[in-house]
Amino acid sequence: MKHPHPASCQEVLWQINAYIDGELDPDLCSHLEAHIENCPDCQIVINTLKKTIQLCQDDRDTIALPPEAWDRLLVSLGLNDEDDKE
Amino acid sequence: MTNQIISDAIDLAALRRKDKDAFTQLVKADSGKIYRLALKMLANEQDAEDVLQETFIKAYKNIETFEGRSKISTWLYRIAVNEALMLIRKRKPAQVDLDAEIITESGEFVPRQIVDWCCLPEEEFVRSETRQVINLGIKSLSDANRAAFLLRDVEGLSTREAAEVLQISESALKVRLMRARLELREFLTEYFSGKMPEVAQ
Repeated sequence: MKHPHPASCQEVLWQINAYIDGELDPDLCSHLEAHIENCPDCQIVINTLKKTIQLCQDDRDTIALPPEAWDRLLVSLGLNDEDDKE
Repeated sequence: MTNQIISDAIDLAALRRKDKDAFTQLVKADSGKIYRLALKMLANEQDAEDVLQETFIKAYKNIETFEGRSKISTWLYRIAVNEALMLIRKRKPAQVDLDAEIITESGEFVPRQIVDWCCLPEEEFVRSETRQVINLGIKSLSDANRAAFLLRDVEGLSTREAAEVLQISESALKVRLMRARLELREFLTEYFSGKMPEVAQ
């Protein structure tokens, strides 16, 4: 499929999720990338969006179930006899 | 408590018989991720623990209704999200939807802030203040968009799995995810823009 017009910022923004998730078909991807290469604003939005997601993912590893909550969970389920906590 | 066990490797027939060993394995495999999701949905440790307990109590009671067509963790996520949303509804009135600020009536997406904060030094991103801001940003999303974002981007479910948990279409999931990501980007941009002059000095 050929694209008669260059992509606009708005087209990039509407496809931004699929673009950063690598889910676009190669033809549409290169059509958008031709715009992105020359558009500092789109580059900033894409880079800061990727960084936003990455920061939220990094933060996920800081959360663990507290040991007391684990004990209470087993008691609430009547599984505390089976507990061989690791 | 450990995540070494994969819940889908647990014998479903044993779970259906309500075998305590099998159920303990399931709790060990998935309690951490259910707690994390609940904590991010509710931003309160006690509420997250309540949701965690309710999720596994309901799973134990209703395991025979799990047909095995999806991952068992997807089924648990669905119970947990429903429990969390029920708790939220009990606690507060309906929310004002902020999506309109970022997506105009004509359907155009307009980023409010274009600031390249990716160039900040890495230590800016690992400070505890930054982690609090990330959590505030997640909390500021609408409940529906927050659930979509947490399942897809934080818990790492596929679009199909996340849509299945929320019982919506994949296209509806994608719309919620886009709004959540863009709102969060705006939220963090506001915060990090304020950091840029400080760093430059």
